[in-house]
Amino acid sequence: MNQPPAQITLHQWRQRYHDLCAAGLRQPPYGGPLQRHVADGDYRLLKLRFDNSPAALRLWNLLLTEESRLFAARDQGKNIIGTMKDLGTVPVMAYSLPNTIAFYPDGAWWVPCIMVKSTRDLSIADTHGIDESFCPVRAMLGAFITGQHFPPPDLLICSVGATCDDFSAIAQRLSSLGWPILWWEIPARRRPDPDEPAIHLPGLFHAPLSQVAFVKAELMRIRDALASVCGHPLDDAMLSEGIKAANRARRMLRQLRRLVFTAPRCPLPALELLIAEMLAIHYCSDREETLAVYQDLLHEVSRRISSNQGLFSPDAARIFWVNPVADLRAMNLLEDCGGRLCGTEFLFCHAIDEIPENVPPMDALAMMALADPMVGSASDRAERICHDASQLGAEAVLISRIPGASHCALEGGLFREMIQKRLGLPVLELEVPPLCDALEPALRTRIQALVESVSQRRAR
Amino acid sequence: MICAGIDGGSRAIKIVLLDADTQQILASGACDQGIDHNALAAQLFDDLLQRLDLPRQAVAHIVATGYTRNGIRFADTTVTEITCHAVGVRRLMPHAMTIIEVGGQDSKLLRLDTNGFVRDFAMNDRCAAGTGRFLEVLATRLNTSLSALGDLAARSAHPASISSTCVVFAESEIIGLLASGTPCEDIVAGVQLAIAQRVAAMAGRELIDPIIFTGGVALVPGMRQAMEQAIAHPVTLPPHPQLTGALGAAILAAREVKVGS
Amino acid sequence: MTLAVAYISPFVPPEWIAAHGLRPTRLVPDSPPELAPPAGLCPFAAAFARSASVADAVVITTTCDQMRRIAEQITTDPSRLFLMNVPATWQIPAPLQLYTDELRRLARFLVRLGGVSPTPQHLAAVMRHHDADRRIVRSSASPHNAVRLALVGPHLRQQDLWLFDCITQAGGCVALDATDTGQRSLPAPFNDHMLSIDPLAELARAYFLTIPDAFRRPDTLLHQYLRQQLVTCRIQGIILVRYLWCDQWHAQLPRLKENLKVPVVEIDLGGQDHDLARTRNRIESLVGILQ
Repeated sequence: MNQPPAQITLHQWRQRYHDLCAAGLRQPPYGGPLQRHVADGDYRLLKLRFDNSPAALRLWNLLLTEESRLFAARDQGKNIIGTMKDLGTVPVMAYSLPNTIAFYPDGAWWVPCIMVKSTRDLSIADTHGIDESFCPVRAMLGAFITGQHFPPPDLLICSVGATCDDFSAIAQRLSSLGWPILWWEIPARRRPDPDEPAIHLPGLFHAPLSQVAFVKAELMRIRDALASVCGHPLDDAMLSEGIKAANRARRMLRQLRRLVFTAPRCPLPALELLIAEMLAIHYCSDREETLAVYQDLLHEVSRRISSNQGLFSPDAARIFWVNPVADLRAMNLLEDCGGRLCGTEFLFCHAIDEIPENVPPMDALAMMALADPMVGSASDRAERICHDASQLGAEAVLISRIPGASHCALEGGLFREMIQKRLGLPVLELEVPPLCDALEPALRTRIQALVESVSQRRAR
Repeated sequence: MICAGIDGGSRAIKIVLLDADTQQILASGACDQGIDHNALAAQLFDDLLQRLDLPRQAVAHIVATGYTRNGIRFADTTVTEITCHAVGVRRLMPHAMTIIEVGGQDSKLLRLDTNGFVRDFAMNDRCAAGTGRFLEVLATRLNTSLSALGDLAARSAHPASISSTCVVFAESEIIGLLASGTPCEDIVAGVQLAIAQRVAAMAGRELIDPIIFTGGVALVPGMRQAMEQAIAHPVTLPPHPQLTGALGAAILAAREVKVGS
Repeated sequence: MTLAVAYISPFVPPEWIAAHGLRPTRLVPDSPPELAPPAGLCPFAAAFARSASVADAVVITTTCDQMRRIAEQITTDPSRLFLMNVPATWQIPAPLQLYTDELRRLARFLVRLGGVSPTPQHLAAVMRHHDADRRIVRSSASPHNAVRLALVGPHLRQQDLWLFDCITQAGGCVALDATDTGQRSLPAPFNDHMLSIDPLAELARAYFLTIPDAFRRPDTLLHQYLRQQLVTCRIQGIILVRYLWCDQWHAQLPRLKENLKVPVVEIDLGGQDHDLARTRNRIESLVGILQ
């Protein structure tokens, strides 16, 4: 069952899967060989490299079966809540209700990558006036229109205010095409005035109490809407349980990250860690399975660390990665070029930090929503990046720009300045489109140059 | 009575001489655009007249259109290429309701009403990635001609995906694809589709048939098929797609003279 | 010399600043033509950052993501810069209350700058004065024989104001200026009765609830406004102006075409100033089809 850790291709997974089954691999109902997903149109898998562990197999199968899980949930009569933009807070509320799941329509931004643009989601967005000057999340518009990737949700909830303009514009376009949206306001988190009652939020930030109160009132509206749609009240006791369950997942993920980032030899590739982190946002429409996947990953990573096994060279450059990528292949490139992840800030650390359990649940959720890194200033975000990069021993920082995303134009420069001033680390900024094959030589050159600069600094 | 339409485009100058009474095209021609728009247009104009053995005074009225229309000083009036293409295409294809014109450096979409008047239009004159320029860059990079692109594209089974919105960066992508072993035919098909998709994005959802595809790029083999795929509608090429603007200008010149008299 | 407080957004009430004894200065940003902002950065936001960096104090709103983020580029001195939260939602009471609270917070900022808290009577008087000025602006007429166009979009930079001349030269007229510097950005006239009872509440109501804008969620107010004005101003065509990388206004193009049923041409203005010929061509084409 256990082989030395390695990254293997989809083709190599065919034999590996056969071997695992022969050795008695137990799989969840959504399990199976990875290559079956290619038949469903996930052609990008042919170009990716995967971790060879059974835990990684389970992770990928959970991710790639989400669409069928959502349609099955519809058939089973479950309430399906589409939670947009807030990246982690509203799903906690939705999952607190019985017979209810939440999913993240924004996640359709990976569809053009995974399906190698075979589904026309982007070109459909084009014809509705949402062209490539917008962020790749515009694929979500195409996904709603075709109805191929998820069933129409029973309720669509979207945060606006201190969110990125392109997503707000895309969501408004969606609304204008006939999808009713429950909009809720997330104010721009600001530093409290000296005489203003304030509160520490999870994850280094502060906010005025008045802002927490405002967001709490907004989340109360959402709670009422959820209860109405699901036909079941959502009281504090249920929310507390939901928060506890969310925190179980978050604790496991935090432990996984700590192990992966601090191990002398990298025990889990960057791509699998990115997927694992993404699960925290809405549990890939199955909270219990997410916990099981995290459990398996923790077990595998711990086993590898204790037996001093890992992937990549022990000398791999320790890179802190900022922002998620539209093309998953970019994560493989990091390791191809001699780097390894030692830390991440994928725009949703508030979905990874633990939700306070010592305050009333609605207050706790309001604090988490305000702790969203996107909702505050770029300086705040840079502070956190510097703090985490320093703690985790990063040797360089890579900032991935999301094409068309309104926040990326300015924040990269500010991050660079602060990182270089505080930590003296080299910083690389690069833009990764939904399919980066044609740009691969250019991306490789840049990442290799970053790794080389790390080597030169070590030698100095 | 003879009238003339001059389409001073960004890459080529086209001229049509029209018999205003019979509405027959007496002569037409094209030349590459250059620095002195006026002189180049005048030279072409005189060449056409010489072919017909006519002096300049034989031409009653000249309308100039196109990007450089205001620089053609010997024209009597100017009209935008939007109006001229609509008139020219409608003359050749009387039932046209939508016109897609893709030139060397810009592209346009015109929506006509049942009377042939333009009711709405969209233009891309900023981004070369949706124009013939992209094809020129591609042909140069592949060391082939524009006319050979159609055959190459027809052999493609998996068009390459071109991400860049800018033709300069897209050229880098083409180099990258070649270096990674992507077949030329897939690259050509990918570029043609990318151009067509950018036009489709400009077109939006409302497309009413019949759709006429005109402009110099319509003549490049493979582009009609790429356009049909991108907009999911059949498209028709008019005869002489490069000349529709100049023809429309000549027709408007004839109308202006008739109104004047 | 009274301290100048620079602002740009129509959601910053100048009468609120004036009532505190300070000088509201609405910026029309300018930028040297040779300076092109980096890819992804709105040229307007870049120009604003340059113009605002020399102001005594600046008020920026959160109505635009890029402007929200450009605030940090202008200054990190909290005594000089005020970032005002203007909610995108508007259909329930809470956002209006948030906006009103932000006006109070702005007042504290203005006092720290040296301003003086106004009495309700003084505030009402200042508001009436500004309201009267706005009535004059609303009633300005446009020529009868030109093609009647609406200009829709955000603020314009100083170097982009030639658009108006370009439209006139092409045979059109701006019968409706629905940019952030035009009629659209004016709040509705104040309710005199409410002015006497609670001028701050009336100020908040007029500014927050009656100015239609693309950043609102939902943005129905904007389209209702444009539908009404299309009839009132007898608009024949629309020019949608937007800056490169401006998502909010760019996304309005298909909505305007679908909802308003008149020709709509989009003009995108970039960081460089080579837009003149292209823009002129588009405007002339629009006027040409409408004549």
